[in-house]
Amino acid sequence: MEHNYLLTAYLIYLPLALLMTFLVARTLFKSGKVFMLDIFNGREVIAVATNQLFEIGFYLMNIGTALYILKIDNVDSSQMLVEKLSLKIGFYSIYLGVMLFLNLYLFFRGKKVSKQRRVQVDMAYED
Amino acid sequence: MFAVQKHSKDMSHLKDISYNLIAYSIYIPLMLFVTFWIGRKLHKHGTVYLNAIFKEYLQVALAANDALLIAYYLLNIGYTLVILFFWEAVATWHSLVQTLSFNVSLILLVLAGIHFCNIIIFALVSSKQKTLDSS
Repeated sequence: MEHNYLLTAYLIYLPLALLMTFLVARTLFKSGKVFMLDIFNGREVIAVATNQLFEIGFYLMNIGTALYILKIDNVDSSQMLVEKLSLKIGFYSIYLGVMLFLNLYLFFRGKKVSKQRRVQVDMAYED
Repeated sequence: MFAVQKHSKDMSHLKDISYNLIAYSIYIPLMLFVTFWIGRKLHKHGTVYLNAIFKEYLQVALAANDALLIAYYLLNIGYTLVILFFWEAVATWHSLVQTLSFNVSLILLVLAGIHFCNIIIFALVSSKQKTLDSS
């Protein structure tokens, strides 16, 4: 019966992990476009391109990680199934949260750097 | 008894269709699709960057972009197929899911690594360009 438990676990884990990744990425990169427009001074083409490149990277990395950590061993009962599954999904959820904050940090840093650059350019024009 | 015999007969039908073969027939189309889809997207959005960075050498840059796309396809399809050789034997449905997702994850993670390296290189080149422009 062990096989059945494992297969059940995977069939619950995979769609859930993919759905979580999708929801987080969609929310993050909807707001990411606003940040990118600010960073690139409203040059929309390059802002959208950068946002898309980051989005592709985000999907690749997180779906890759979700699949990489999929393996579960030693499931003998339904109780163990729930325990292991919740450990796995909980871990992935925390990981996604950390990635979300990392991305937000990058956005804010980009915003700060572009602001400094703009100030420098303004000062150069004043001179 | 009859049922058991029938069952074993049915199984012998499927004997040479192993779990590995099922896994491969999911893995190869999936990876080819992912490779082409991501390659096309990166090529499209990379062109925007090349327009912004290499204004004087745009023709050369676009040609290099096309060559890079082909190189990326060859490399990626190459190692997708090469690691097929190193798959472990699959005997059950759950180990099929395990092996499949492990191998797909390896390729996705390597792709992510290459992709972020590319973004960093683009960022470095464009910032160098800016300092050259301003000096």
